Amino acid sequence: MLWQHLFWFFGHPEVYILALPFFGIATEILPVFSRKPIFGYKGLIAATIAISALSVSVWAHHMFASGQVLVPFFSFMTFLIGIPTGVKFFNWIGTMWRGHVTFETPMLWVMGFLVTFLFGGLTGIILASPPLDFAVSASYFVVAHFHYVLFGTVVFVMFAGFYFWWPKMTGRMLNERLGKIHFWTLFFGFHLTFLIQHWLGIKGFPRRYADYLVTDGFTFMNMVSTVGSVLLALSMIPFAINVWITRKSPMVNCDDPWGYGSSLEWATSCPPPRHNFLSIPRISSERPAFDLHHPHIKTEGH
Amino acid sequence: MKVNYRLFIGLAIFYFFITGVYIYVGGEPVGIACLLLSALLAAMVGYYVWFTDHRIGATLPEDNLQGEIADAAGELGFYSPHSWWPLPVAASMFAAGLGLIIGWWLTLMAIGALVVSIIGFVTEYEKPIDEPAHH
Repeated sequence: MLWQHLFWFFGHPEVYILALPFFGIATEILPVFSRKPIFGYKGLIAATIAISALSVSVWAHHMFASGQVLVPFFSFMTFLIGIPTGVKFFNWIGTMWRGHVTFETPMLWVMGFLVTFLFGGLTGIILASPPLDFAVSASYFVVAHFHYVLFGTVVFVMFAGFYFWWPKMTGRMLNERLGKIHFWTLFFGFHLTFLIQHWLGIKGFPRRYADYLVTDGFTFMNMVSTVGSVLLALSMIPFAINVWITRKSPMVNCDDPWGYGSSLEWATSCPPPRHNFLSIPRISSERPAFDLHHPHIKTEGH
Repeated sequence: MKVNYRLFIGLAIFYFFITGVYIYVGGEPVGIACLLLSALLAAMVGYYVWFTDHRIGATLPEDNLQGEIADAAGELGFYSPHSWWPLPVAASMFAAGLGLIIGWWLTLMAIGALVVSIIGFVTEYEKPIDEPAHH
Protein backbone atom coordinates (compact mmCIF):
# COMPACT_ATOMS: atom_id res chain seq x y z
CA MET A 1 0.00 0.00 0.00
CA LEU A 2 2.82 2.39 0.83
CA TRP A 3 4.41 1.63 -2.54
CA GLN A 4 1.10 2.19 -4.34
CA HIS A 5 0.63 5.49 -2.53
CA LEU A 6 4.10 6.71 -3.39
CA PHE A 7 3.85 5.49 -6.98
CA TRP A 8 0.60 7.34 -7.63
CA PHE A 9 1.69 10.37 -5.62
CA PHE A 10 4.41 10.63 -8.26
CA GLY A 11 2.48 9.14 -11.18
CA HIS A 12 -0.63 11.25 -11.13
CA PRO A 13 0.98 14.71 -11.08
CA GLU A 14 3.27 13.33 -13.79
CA VAL A 15 0.42 12.99 -16.31
CA TYR A 16 -0.44 16.64 -15.73
CA ILE A 17 3.21 17.57 -16.20
CA LEU A 18 3.04 15.66 -19.50
CA ALA A 19 -0.20 17.30 -20.59
CA LEU A 20 0.28 20.95 -19.59
CA PRO A 21 3.04 21.82 -22.14
CA PHE A 22 0.83 20.36 -24.87
CA PHE A 23 -2.11 22.46 -23.65
CA GLY A 24 0.29 25.38 -24.08
CA ILE A 25 1.03 24.40 -27.70
CA ALA A 26 -2.71 24.13 -28.43
CA THR A 27 -3.16 27.58 -26.90
CA GLU A 28 -0.43 28.94 -29.21
CA ILE A 29 -1.92 27.40 -32.36
CA LEU A 30 -5.67 28.06 -31.92
CA PRO A 31 -5.57 31.89 -32.12
CA VAL A 32 -3.37 31.78 -35.26
CA PHE A 33 -5.89 29.77 -37.29
CA SER A 34 -8.95 31.43 -35.74
CA ARG A 35 -7.62 34.94 -36.49
CA LYS A 36 -8.59 35.98 -32.98
CA PRO A 37 -6.63 36.60 -29.77
CA ILE A 38 -6.96 33.86 -27.16
CA PHE A 39 -10.27 34.13 -25.37
CA GLY A 40 -9.95 34.71 -21.61
CA TYR A 41 -6.15 34.73 -21.35
CA LYS A 42 -6.10 35.30 -17.59
CA GLY A 43 -8.71 32.64 -16.94
CA LEU A 44 -6.58 30.23 -18.93
CA ILE A 45 -3.48 31.00 -16.85
CA ALA A 46 -5.50 30.68 -13.63
CA ALA A 47 -6.82 27.30 -14.84
CA THR A 48 -3.26 26.11 -15.51
CA ILE A 49 -2.18 27.11 -12.00
CA ALA A 50 -5.28 25.48 -10.50
CA ILE A 51 -4.62 22.22 -12.38
CA SER A 52 -0.99 22.18 -11.18
CA ALA A 53 -2.03 22.90 -7.59
CA LEU A 54 -4.80 20.29 -7.52
CA SER A 55 -2.73 17.66 -9.34
CA VAL A 56 -0.91 16.56 -6.17
CA SER A 57 -4.10 16.00 -4.20
CA VAL A 58 -5.93 13.49 -6.40
CA TRP A 59 -3.51 10.54 -6.60
CA ALA A 60 -5.48 7.97 -4.59
CA HIS A 61 -8.31 7.88 -7.16
CA HIS A 62 -6.13 5.19 -8.78
CA MET A 63 -6.56 3.15 -5.61
CA PHE A 64 -10.33 3.28 -5.00
CA ALA A 65 -10.62 -0.48 -5.43
CA SER A 66 -7.99 -1.13 -2.73
CA GLY A 67 -10.60 -0.21 -0.12
CA GLN A 68 -7.93 1.43 2.01
CA VAL A 69 -8.14 5.05 0.88
CA LEU A 70 -10.44 7.90 1.74
CA VAL A 71 -12.73 7.54 -1.27
CA PRO A 72 -14.98 10.64 -0.78
CA PHE A 73 -12.02 13.02 -0.39
CA PHE A 74 -10.17 11.86 -3.51
CA SER A 75 -13.37 11.59 -5.53
CA PHE A 76 -14.25 15.18 -4.62
CA MET A 77 -10.76 16.47 -5.44
CA THR A 78 -10.85 14.63 -8.79
CA PHE A 79 -14.19 16.16 -9.70
CA LEU A 80 -12.73 19.51 -8.64
CA ILE A 81 -9.81 19.24 -11.10
CA GLY A 82 -12.36 18.80 -13.87
CA ILE A 83 -13.42 22.42 -13.38
CA PRO A 84 -10.19 24.18 -14.48
CA THR A 85 -9.88 21.67 -17.33
CA GLY A 86 -13.40 22.62 -18.39
CA VAL A 87 -12.41 26.29 -18.16
CA LYS A 88 -9.58 25.57 -20.60
CA PHE A 89 -11.98 23.94 -23.05
CA PHE A 90 -14.30 26.93 -22.68
CA ASN A 91 -11.42 29.27 -23.57
CA TRP A 92 -10.27 27.18 -26.54
CA ILE A 93 -13.75 26.96 -28.00
CA GLY A 94 -14.33 30.64 -27.19
CA THR A 95 -11.20 31.43 -29.22
CA MET A 96 -12.61 29.66 -32.27
CA TRP A 97 -16.13 31.00 -31.71
CA ARG A 98 -17.00 33.44 -34.55
CA GLY A 99 -13.38 33.47 -35.70
CA HIS A 100 -12.30 32.93 -39.30
CA VAL A 101 -11.26 29.35 -38.71
CA THR A 102 -9.07 27.75 -41.39
CA PHE A 103 -8.03 24.12 -41.41
CA GLU A 104 -4.31 23.98 -42.10
CA THR A 105 -2.62 20.87 -40.71
CA PRO A 106 -1.61 22.34 -37.30
CA MET A 107 -5.21 23.42 -36.67
CA LEU A 108 -6.47 20.01 -37.81
CA TRP A 109 -4.26 18.30 -35.25
CA VAL A 110 -5.38 20.67 -32.49
CA MET A 111 -9.02 19.94 -33.31
CA GLY A 112 -8.21 16.23 -33.23
CA PHE A 113 -6.76 16.86 -29.79
CA LEU A 114 -9.89 18.72 -28.63
CA VAL A 115 -12.16 15.86 -29.72
CA THR A 116 -9.98 13.07 -28.34
CA PHE A 117 -9.05 14.74 -25.07
CA LEU A 118 -12.64 15.80 -24.42
CA PHE A 119 -13.69 12.16 -24.69
CA GLY A 120 -10.86 11.15 -22.35
CA GLY A 121 -11.98 13.86 -19.92
CA LEU A 122 -15.57 12.62 -19.96
CA THR A 123 -14.54 9.03 -19.20
CA GLY A 124 -12.31 10.57 -16.50
CA ILE A 125 -15.42 11.99 -14.84
CA ILE A 126 -16.93 8.49 -14.99
CA LEU A 127 -13.84 6.98 -13.36
CA ALA A 128 -13.76 9.69 -10.68
CA SER A 129 -17.16 8.53 -9.52
CA PRO A 130 -16.50 5.61 -7.12
CA PRO A 131 -19.62 3.51 -7.88
CA LEU A 132 -18.80 3.60 -11.60
CA ASP A 133 -15.08 3.13 -11.00
CA PHE A 134 -15.63 -0.05 -8.95
CA ALA A 135 -17.45 -1.55 -11.93
CA VAL A 136 -14.70 -0.95 -14.50
CA SER A 137 -11.56 -0.76 -12.32
CA ALA A 138 -8.55 -2.61 -13.79
CA SER A 139 -10.48 -3.31 -17.01
CA TYR A 140 -9.86 -2.17 -20.57
CA PHE A 141 -12.12 0.82 -19.89
CA VAL A 142 -9.25 2.32 -17.93
CA VAL A 143 -6.79 1.50 -20.72
CA ALA A 144 -9.06 3.27 -23.21
CA HIS A 145 -9.45 6.29 -20.91
CA PHE A 146 -5.69 6.56 -20.42
CA HIS A 147 -4.99 6.52 -24.15
CA TYR A 148 -7.69 9.09 -24.93
CA VAL A 149 -6.18 11.42 -22.35
CA LEU A 150 -2.50 10.98 -23.08
CA PHE A 151 -2.48 10.13 -26.79
CA GLY A 152 -4.98 12.95 -27.28
CA THR A 153 -2.62 15.48 -25.75
CA VAL A 154 0.87 14.18 -26.36
CA VAL A 155 0.64 12.71 -29.87
CA PHE A 156 -2.00 14.93 -31.48
CA VAL A 157 -0.55 18.17 -30.14
CA MET A 158 3.04 17.04 -30.73
CA PHE A 159 2.25 16.67 -34.44
CA ALA A 160 0.36 19.99 -34.34
CA GLY A 161 3.57 21.54 -33.03
CA PHE A 162 5.71 19.78 -35.64
CA TYR A 163 3.59 21.03 -38.55
CA PHE A 164 3.24 24.49 -36.97
CA TRP A 165 6.91 25.13 -36.13
CA TRP A 166 8.52 23.09 -38.93
CA PRO A 167 9.02 26.22 -41.10
CA LYS A 168 10.42 28.04 -38.04
CA MET A 169 12.90 25.22 -37.37
CA THR A 170 13.92 24.37 -40.94
CA GLY A 171 12.77 27.30 -43.09
CA ARG A 172 10.68 24.92 -45.23
CA MET A 173 6.98 24.03 -45.05
CA LEU A 174 5.78 20.46 -44.70
CA ASN A 175 3.40 19.27 -47.41
CA GLU A 176 -0.21 20.08 -46.46
CA ARG A 177 -1.78 17.26 -48.48
CA LEU A 178 0.42 14.55 -46.93
CA GLY A 179 -0.13 16.20 -43.55
CA LYS A 180 -3.87 15.79 -43.95
CA ILE A 181 -3.50 12.15 -45.02
CA HIS A 182 -1.26 11.65 -41.97
CA PHE A 183 -3.85 13.24 -39.70
CA TRP A 184 -6.87 11.33 -40.94
CA THR A 185 -5.19 7.90 -40.97
CA LEU A 186 -3.85 8.50 -37.48
CA PHE A 187 -7.21 9.83 -36.27
CA PHE A 188 -9.19 6.86 -37.59
CA GLY A 189 -6.49 4.38 -36.58
CA PHE A 190 -6.46 5.75 -33.06
CA HIS A 191 -10.22 5.78 -32.55
CA LEU A 192 -10.60 2.34 -34.13
CA THR A 193 -8.00 0.99 -31.71
CA PHE A 194 -9.15 2.58 -28.48
CA LEU A 195 -12.85 3.50 -28.74
CA ILE A 196 -13.89 -0.16 -28.78
CA GLN A 197 -11.77 -0.86 -25.70
CA HIS A 198 -14.34 1.05 -23.62
CA TRP A 199 -16.93 -1.62 -24.52
CA LEU A 200 -14.38 -4.38 -23.99
CA GLY A 201 -13.83 -3.04 -20.48
CA ILE A 202 -17.54 -2.77 -19.73
CA LYS A 203 -17.98 -6.38 -20.89
CA GLY A 204 -15.34 -7.31 -18.31
CA PHE A 205 -12.11 -7.77 -20.25
CA PRO A 206 -9.39 -7.21 -17.63
CA ARG A 207 -6.16 -5.38 -18.36
CA ARG A 208 -2.73 -7.06 -18.19
CA TYR A 209 -4.07 -10.43 -19.41
CA ALA A 210 -2.09 -11.99 -22.25
CA ASP A 211 -4.84 -14.31 -23.49
CA TYR A 212 -8.54 -15.11 -23.31
CA LEU A 213 -10.89 -17.91 -24.29
CA VAL A 214 -13.08 -17.91 -27.41
CA THR A 215 -16.05 -18.51 -25.09
CA ASP A 216 -15.29 -15.20 -23.29
CA GLY A 217 -16.56 -13.39 -26.41
CA PHE A 218 -13.77 -10.81 -26.52
CA THR A 219 -12.30 -11.97 -29.86
CA PHE A 220 -14.14 -9.69 -32.29
CA MET A 221 -13.57 -6.46 -30.38
CA ASN A 222 -9.90 -7.30 -29.84
CA MET A 223 -9.56 -7.93 -33.58
CA VAL A 224 -11.10 -4.54 -34.42
CA SER A 225 -8.67 -2.95 -31.99
CA THR A 226 -5.73 -4.76 -33.59
CA VAL A 227 -6.73 -3.66 -37.09
CA GLY A 228 -6.94 -0.09 -35.78
CA SER A 229 -3.48 -0.32 -34.27
CA VAL A 230 -2.03 -1.43 -37.64
CA LEU A 231 -3.68 1.58 -39.31
CA LEU A 232 -2.27 3.76 -36.53
CA ALA A 233 1.22 2.43 -37.16
CA LEU A 234 0.85 2.90 -40.95
CA SER A 235 -0.11 6.55 -40.41
CA MET A 236 3.52 7.30 -39.54
CA ILE A 237 4.56 6.50 -43.13
CA PRO A 238 3.00 9.67 -44.69
CA PHE A 239 4.82 11.72 -42.06
CA ALA A 240 8.17 10.13 -42.85
CA ILE A 241 7.55 10.63 -46.60
CA ASN A 242 6.56 14.24 -45.86
CA VAL A 243 9.77 14.99 -44.00
CA TRP A 244 11.79 13.35 -46.79
CA ILE A 245 10.15 14.97 -49.85
CA THR A 246 10.07 18.49 -48.34
CA ARG A 247 13.74 18.45 -47.34
CA LYS A 248 14.65 20.49 -50.43
CA SER A 249 11.39 22.39 -50.99
CA PRO A 250 11.71 26.18 -51.42
CA MET A 251 12.54 28.27 -48.37
CA VAL A 252 9.63 30.31 -46.99
CA ASN A 253 11.84 33.44 -46.76
CA CYS A 254 9.56 35.31 -44.37
CA ASP A 255 9.06 35.70 -40.63
CA ASP A 256 5.61 34.16 -40.48
CA PRO A 257 4.46 31.77 -43.23
CA TRP A 258 1.09 31.22 -41.48
CA GLY A 259 0.32 34.95 -41.69
CA TYR A 260 -1.24 35.46 -38.27
CA GLY A 261 1.39 34.19 -35.78
CA SER A 262 1.15 35.81 -32.37
CA SER A 263 4.15 35.00 -30.24
CA LEU A 264 7.65 36.42 -30.49
CA GLU A 265 9.24 33.60 -32.51
CA TRP A 266 7.20 34.72 -35.55
CA ALA A 267 8.95 38.12 -35.41
CA THR A 268 12.29 36.63 -36.49
CA SER A 269 13.40 34.88 -39.67
CA CYS A 270 12.81 31.18 -40.55
CA PRO A 271 15.10 29.60 -39.37
CA PRO A 272 16.22 32.20 -36.80
CA PRO A 273 19.70 33.76 -36.99
CA ARG A 274 22.37 33.12 -34.35
CA HIS A 275 21.08 34.31 -30.95
CA ASN A 276 17.54 34.33 -32.41
CA PHE A 277 16.92 38.02 -33.13
CA LEU A 278 18.54 40.75 -35.16
CA SER A 279 16.17 43.19 -33.45
CA ILE A 280 13.37 42.59 -30.98
CA PRO A 281 10.04 44.31 -31.67
CA ARG A 282 8.37 46.39 -29.02
CA ILE A 283 6.06 44.29 -26.89
CA SER A 284 2.83 46.10 -26.11
CA SER A 285 0.39 43.18 -26.01
CA GLU A 286 0.16 39.39 -25.75
CA ARG A 287 0.71 39.17 -29.51
CA PRO A 288 3.95 41.03 -30.34
CA ALA A 289 4.52 39.34 -33.73
CA PHE A 290 0.90 39.94 -34.77
CA ASP A 291 1.17 43.62 -33.82
CA LEU A 292 4.38 43.87 -35.87
CA HIS A 293 2.91 42.34 -39.03
CA HIS A 294 -0.60 43.78 -38.75
CA PRO A 295 -0.01 47.27 -37.27
CA HIS A 296 -3.41 48.53 -38.44
CA ILE A 297 -5.21 46.12 -36.09
CA LYS A 298 -4.96 47.15 -32.47
CA THR A 299 -4.71 44.28 -29.99
CA GLU A 300 -6.04 45.17 -26.60
CA GLY A 301 -2.85 45.99 -24.67
CA HIS A 302 -1.83 45.97 -21.03
CA MET B 1 10.88 36.82 -9.01
CA LYS B 2 7.96 38.49 -7.23
CA VAL B 3 5.48 36.44 -9.22
CA ASN B 4 7.49 33.28 -8.57
CA TYR B 5 7.55 33.52 -4.79
CA ARG B 6 3.93 34.62 -4.60
CA LEU B 7 3.00 31.57 -6.66
CA PHE B 8 4.95 29.16 -4.44
CA ILE B 9 3.77 30.74 -1.17
CA GLY B 10 0.22 30.52 -2.53
CA LEU B 11 0.76 26.84 -3.32
CA ALA B 12 2.16 26.25 0.19
CA ILE B 13 -0.89 27.88 1.79
CA PHE B 14 -3.19 25.78 -0.42
CA TYR B 15 -1.37 22.54 0.46
CA PHE B 16 -1.41 23.35 4.20
CA PHE B 17 -5.14 23.94 3.88
CA ILE B 18 -5.65 20.65 1.99
CA THR B 19 -3.55 18.81 4.60
CA GLY B 20 -5.80 20.23 7.31
CA VAL B 21 -8.92 19.17 5.44
CA TYR B 22 -7.46 15.71 4.87
CA ILE B 23 -6.66 15.26 8.57
CA TYR B 24 -10.11 16.59 9.50
CA VAL B 25 -11.99 14.14 7.28
CA GLY B 26 -9.91 11.26 8.61
CA GLY B 27 -7.14 10.63 6.07
CA GLU B 28 -4.52 7.91 6.50
CA PRO B 29 -0.86 8.60 7.47
CA VAL B 30 0.74 8.26 3.99
CA GLY B 31 -1.56 10.86 2.49
CA ILE B 32 -1.04 13.23 5.44
CA ALA B 33 2.74 12.88 5.08
CA CYS B 34 2.63 13.42 1.28
CA LEU B 35 0.40 16.50 1.47
CA LEU B 36 2.33 18.00 4.39
CA LEU B 37 5.65 17.46 2.61
CA SER B 38 4.22 19.06 -0.55
CA ALA B 39 3.25 22.09 1.54
CA LEU B 40 6.72 22.27 3.10
CA LEU B 41 8.42 21.84 -0.29
CA ALA B 42 6.39 24.68 -1.83
CA ALA B 43 7.07 26.82 1.27
CA MET B 44 10.81 26.12 1.01
CA VAL B 45 10.99 27.11 -2.68
CA GLY B 46 8.82 30.19 -2.02
CA TYR B 47 10.94 31.23 0.96
CA TYR B 48 14.20 30.72 -0.96
CA VAL B 49 13.04 32.84 -3.92
CA TRP B 50 11.68 35.53 -1.58
CA PHE B 51 14.92 35.52 0.43
CA THR B 52 17.09 35.75 -2.71
CA ASP B 53 14.94 38.53 -4.15
CA HIS B 54 15.30 40.57 -0.96
CA ARG B 55 19.03 39.89 -0.63
CA ILE B 56 19.72 41.07 -4.21
CA GLY B 57 17.84 44.26 -3.29
CA ALA B 58 17.64 45.68 -6.81
CA THR B 59 14.52 45.63 -8.99
CA LEU B 60 14.98 42.84 -11.51
CA PRO B 61 14.09 43.57 -15.16
CA GLU B 62 11.35 40.92 -15.13
CA ASP B 63 9.62 42.70 -12.23
CA ASN B 64 9.72 46.07 -14.01
CA LEU B 65 6.59 46.60 -16.13
CA GLN B 66 8.48 49.08 -18.34
CA GLY B 67 11.47 46.72 -18.66
CA GLU B 68 13.04 45.87 -22.04
CA ILE B 69 14.08 42.35 -23.05
CA ALA B 70 17.64 43.63 -23.54
CA ASP B 71 17.80 44.57 -19.82
CA ALA B 72 17.73 40.91 -18.89
CA ALA B 73 20.17 39.75 -21.60
CA GLY B 74 23.49 38.44 -20.37
CA GLU B 75 26.85 38.42 -22.11
CA LEU B 76 27.14 36.80 -25.52
CA GLY B 77 29.11 33.66 -24.76
CA PHE B 78 31.53 31.80 -26.99
CA TYR B 79 30.20 28.50 -28.30
CA SER B 80 32.27 26.02 -30.24
CA PRO B 81 30.88 25.85 -33.79
CA HIS B 82 32.04 22.25 -34.20
CA SER B 83 34.45 19.89 -32.48
CA TRP B 84 35.75 16.36 -32.92
CA TRP B 85 36.79 16.06 -29.27
CA PRO B 86 33.54 14.63 -27.82
CA LEU B 87 34.15 11.56 -30.00
CA PRO B 88 37.48 10.48 -28.41
CA VAL B 89 36.05 11.29 -24.95
CA ALA B 90 33.08 9.01 -25.59
CA ALA B 91 35.24 6.31 -27.22
CA SER B 92 37.69 6.17 -24.31
CA MET B 93 34.82 6.13 -21.79
CA PHE B 94 33.29 3.27 -23.78
CA ALA B 95 36.63 1.41 -23.72
CA ALA B 96 36.90 2.01 -19.96
CA GLY B 97 33.50 0.41 -19.47
CA LEU B 98 34.33 -2.44 -21.85
CA GLY B 99 37.47 -3.09 -19.79
CA LEU B 100 35.30 -4.16 -16.86
CA ILE B 101 34.27 -7.17 -19.00
CA ILE B 102 37.48 -7.83 -20.97
CA GLY B 103 40.18 -6.98 -18.46
CA TRP B 104 41.53 -4.25 -16.22
CA TRP B 105 44.46 -3.56 -18.57
CA LEU B 106 41.97 -2.05 -21.07
CA THR B 107 40.32 0.10 -18.40
CA LEU B 108 43.71 1.44 -17.28
CA MET B 109 44.72 2.28 -20.85
CA ALA B 110 41.30 3.83 -21.52
CA ILE B 111 41.54 6.03 -18.42
CA GLY B 112 44.84 7.34 -19.79
CA ALA B 113 43.18 8.03 -23.13
CA LEU B 114 40.23 9.62 -21.32
CA VAL B 115 42.51 12.06 -19.48
CA VAL B 116 44.24 13.02 -22.73
CA SER B 117 40.96 13.51 -24.60
CA ILE B 118 39.37 15.51 -21.77
CA ILE B 119 42.42 17.81 -21.77
CA GLY B 120 42.09 18.13 -25.55
CA PHE B 121 38.34 18.86 -25.27
CA VAL B 122 38.73 21.48 -22.55
CA THR B 123 41.75 23.26 -24.02
CA GLU B 124 40.73 23.12 -27.72
CA TYR B 125 40.31 26.90 -27.95
CA GLU B 126 43.12 27.78 -25.51
CA LYS B 127 46.04 29.53 -27.13
CA PRO B 128 49.47 30.24 -25.64
CA ILE B 129 49.51 33.78 -24.23
CA ASP B 130 52.45 35.02 -26.31
CA GLU B 131 51.01 33.72 -29.61
CA PRO B 132 48.36 35.96 -31.27
CA ALA B 133 44.94 34.25 -31.22
CA HIS B 134 43.29 33.64 -34.57
CA HIS B 135 39.86 32.02 -34.78
